Amino acid sequence: MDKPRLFIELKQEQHLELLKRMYQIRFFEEAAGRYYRKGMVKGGIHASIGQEAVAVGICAHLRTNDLITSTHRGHGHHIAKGADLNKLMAEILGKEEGYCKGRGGSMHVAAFDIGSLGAFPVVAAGVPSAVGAGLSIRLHKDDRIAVSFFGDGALGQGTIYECMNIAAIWKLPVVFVCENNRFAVSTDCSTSIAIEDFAKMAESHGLKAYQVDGQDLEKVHYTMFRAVDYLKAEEQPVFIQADTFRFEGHYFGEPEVNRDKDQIRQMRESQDPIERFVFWLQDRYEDDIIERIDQVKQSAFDEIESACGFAENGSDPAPETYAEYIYA
Amino acid sequence: MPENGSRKLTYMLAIREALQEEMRADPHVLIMGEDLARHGGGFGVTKELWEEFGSDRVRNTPISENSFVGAALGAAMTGSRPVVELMFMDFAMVAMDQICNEAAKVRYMYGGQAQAPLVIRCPQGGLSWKSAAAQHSQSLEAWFVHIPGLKVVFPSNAYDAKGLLKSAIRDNNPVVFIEHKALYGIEDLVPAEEYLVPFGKGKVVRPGNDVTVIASGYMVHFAQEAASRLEEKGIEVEILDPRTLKPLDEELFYQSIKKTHRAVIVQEANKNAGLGMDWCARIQENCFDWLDAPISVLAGEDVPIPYASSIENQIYVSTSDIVRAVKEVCYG
Amino acid sequence: MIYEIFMPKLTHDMQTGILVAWVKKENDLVKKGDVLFEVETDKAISEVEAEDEGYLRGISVEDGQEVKVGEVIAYLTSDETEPLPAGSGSQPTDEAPEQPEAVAGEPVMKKEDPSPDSVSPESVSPDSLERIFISPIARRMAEESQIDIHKVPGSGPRGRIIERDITAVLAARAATKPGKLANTVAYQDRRMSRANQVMAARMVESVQTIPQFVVEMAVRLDEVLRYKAIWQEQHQKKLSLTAILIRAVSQVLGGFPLLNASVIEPETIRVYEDINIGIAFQTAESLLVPVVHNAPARSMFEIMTIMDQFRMVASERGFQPEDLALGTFTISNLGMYGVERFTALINPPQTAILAVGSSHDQLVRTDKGFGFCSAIALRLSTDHRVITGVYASQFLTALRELLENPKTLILQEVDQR
Repeated sequence: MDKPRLFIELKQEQHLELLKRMYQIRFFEEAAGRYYRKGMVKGGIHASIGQEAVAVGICAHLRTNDLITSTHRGHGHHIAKGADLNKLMAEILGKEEGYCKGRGGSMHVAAFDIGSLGAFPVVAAGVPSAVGAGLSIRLHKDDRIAVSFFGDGALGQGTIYECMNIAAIWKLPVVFVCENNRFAVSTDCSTSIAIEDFAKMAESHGLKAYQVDGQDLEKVHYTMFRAVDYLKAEEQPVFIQADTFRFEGHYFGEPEVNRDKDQIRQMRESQDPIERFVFWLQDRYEDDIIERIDQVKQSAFDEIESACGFAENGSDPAPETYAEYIYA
Repeated sequence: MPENGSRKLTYMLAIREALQEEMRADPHVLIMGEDLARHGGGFGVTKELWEEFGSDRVRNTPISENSFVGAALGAAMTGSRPVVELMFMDFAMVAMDQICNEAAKVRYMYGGQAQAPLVIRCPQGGLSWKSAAAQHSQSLEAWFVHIPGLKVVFPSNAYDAKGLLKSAIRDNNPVVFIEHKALYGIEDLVPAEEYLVPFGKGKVVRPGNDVTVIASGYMVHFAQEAASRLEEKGIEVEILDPRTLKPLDEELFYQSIKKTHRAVIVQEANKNAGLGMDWCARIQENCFDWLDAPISVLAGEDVPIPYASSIENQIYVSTSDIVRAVKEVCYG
Repeated sequence: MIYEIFMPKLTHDMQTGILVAWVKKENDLVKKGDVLFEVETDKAISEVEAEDEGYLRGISVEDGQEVKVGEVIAYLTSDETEPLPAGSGSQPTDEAPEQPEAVAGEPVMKKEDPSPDSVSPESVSPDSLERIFISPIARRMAEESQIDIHKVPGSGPRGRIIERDITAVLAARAATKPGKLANTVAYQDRRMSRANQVMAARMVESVQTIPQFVVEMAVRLDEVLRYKAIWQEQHQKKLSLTAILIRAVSQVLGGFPLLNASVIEPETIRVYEDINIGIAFQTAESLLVPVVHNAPARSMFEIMTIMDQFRMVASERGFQPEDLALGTFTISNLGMYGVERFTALINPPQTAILAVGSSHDQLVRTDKGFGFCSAIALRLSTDHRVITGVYASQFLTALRELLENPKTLILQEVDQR
């Protein structure tokens, strides 16, 4: 797909497309939250409300056959990568029509047809798979890249450092994206991770590192643009620290004992990535953009509504099929 | 047993030949692990492979078991067919999340979207490889048999080792391929022509009518020794080697025991929650009405494996133990 | 547009919440983000905000009421007067959660009561409470071959019956084909009753101490039968052949004292002056021999009466010791059982016993050539220590003559009346 890769050079439709993606994520997560509150979803839902810009900005540079690994907070990554909203919502509700035929649920969504190797809820467990994907790409000698999303909490896991090490010495085309929302469940990362400067840490592991304000879509988009260029030119893995903010609890219903309610309110008001992008668009384009924005918003809303309808009408996996899909 | 074109090959060389043949046949097959290249792996199994296939496909990894097994998984999900070597089965514990939480389950959790054609080679066991002590001598097959989504094989001889490894590499599922270190130097007839040993099929190593002895890995050899001794006493022992631990050839067990009415299970691993007890329960479920004596399970002692030979020798099942157990179930 | 307001799931484990207080009232216009009501869960009191805009209507839950998660408690309508859904009130959504899968207090799957089959009847011996230990294969083999495991000795530990024990039984069975000796035979033991033991002892003594020989004679019954018929007519009473024999024997015995005696070793013959004739009676368990004392002095009528009494008593097993004592001669009649002739064993310390068979037709020479007559076989067993063949024969001859000419019997009867 040939399109300008620099954010500033994108056309209006392309900007609106990115906005739509962000709205899709927002409305999807809100719908999932409603299902949760209605008791229609068992298990936990980890919403990425507030982190839309990171997923959308990063995935904007990925083709269908580029690969990502995701986490328990993975709906946004999948939507940004181009997942089918119907199948994604159906999976949240545990239906046979879902991406994983109801066997994975919210925490284990995957969409191999659009390049997602899956959500790995064991913290940092997906990163090695991204490295392995990079290895396959290297062996296959093509120009794909692999992106691994993880949070600040994952920096407590040794495997992160091992993976950076392996990617660096084998020169694998892997982008390590740390969505730093500063909290791992209830733990402020300043109390559990001694590293103050993640980017510097990554560089000392042999990666080229960037740090970016994750609430600013333009900046995220631009950072990823530079990172991918660097990776391809230098054959060196890269690390992006995206500072962001999670508006909901770790999961819907989390008591949030360590998060300041006022601060959350303030963040929602001043740091909403969608709102900031809307301002950016209004700034950049003529007044009639407002109408288009509304249309995009409505369109995203409708698509999510439709996905909800699809999912709610789905069927539970037949009881006798419990043992299918164990072995290939 | 194979006939023409066979030559004597050690267990180790048989494994190497399997790797070589599969790497030649399929460019997606690669091997990775510590010191695999010029050094030839922890025990020399992969010698000469780096010279033939180069650094791309014979990859030395840093000492990051969990991560490089996970990387192998990622590669397997994206078109490669990696064969990982863990230097000792004991180190598999470092990689348990990637083996048991991730590799075993990706296919199921993702509703069939993924497949992970991954082989993890694990040299295990004490005995002849004496004095490696507690963290380099364990037998942990039960851990992996317990996890849904994995397949586990454990050849006892060179012929089965080559055939099973080739099958493992061609299988599209994660396979834990267990090698016994003490067997590396033991020779057997191995055909030169291509052959495979299928998963899920055990073997009657020695036919007999009086008692069924089920053994795996190195214990098969002890069982054979015991059987010779017992033959002189007029007891005909039938020895079964399951070869694949998961999926298990249960029918082979039942057929034999319905004939002999007696079973002795022999394993090197610690008795507690080991496979012997699992097999014992299955036999009891399916052959209760054919049993003339309680099923005997011989296994290692519940002790971390010591360094000094005088006490290490105490821990494992010996040929005499097998002879005694057989006599007991024969009431003789 | 109508939006449902429902009790939200605020925490992971929440099943119900208490609606502490409505902050907005019925018909209030509500904006997104306004606090609608407060909910108390076991964690805390939370504010629930409106997610949409509209007029709050159809409140169906009061302050302080406990509501299930997912239950609809009110609506937001964009129009003040828009009709609410029919039956709006508390309408739990379809997906209102039931109890989660594992609730404390939910009955655990009861283990099935062991079926009657699981207690094998064989393992509970009717005779003893002791368990039989037996290996499964041995049990099955025993069942298939109908071997009673109570009778098989177990050679395994704890006396466990094992395969080779059953194999041994089967081999033994196979070995008991004709011509070969059996290793074991199936059997059942019974205790001998007292009476049985007495009989056994007597018979052993009889055979061991008395050298017995037998003489036999056939007696024609025509006259006896005619006599019997007349007598029965006259006396209106049934008369048995045995009674006639008693009468007859008692008459004849007087002339043959050695047959009414006892041998007392080493050299004494005790000849009895009384003639007490015992009659062998079958009871359920043994042979008893009640005695007609002083038989020669008794009329036929008396004898028959005594016989009747004996018969009654025999069936009730109530002979008194005096009934059974002091016999000097015994008659045993198996004729009513169809036995034609037999040899009885002498009842020690007597020296003789008369065995009577059934009447049968015998071919005889008549004036006209041949004919049939009724006859019985009389066999006399006697003690050869004191009695010779001639003596015995003479006795039988005398007895026969009397029976074939019962006039003398009758004459005697007349005498005695």
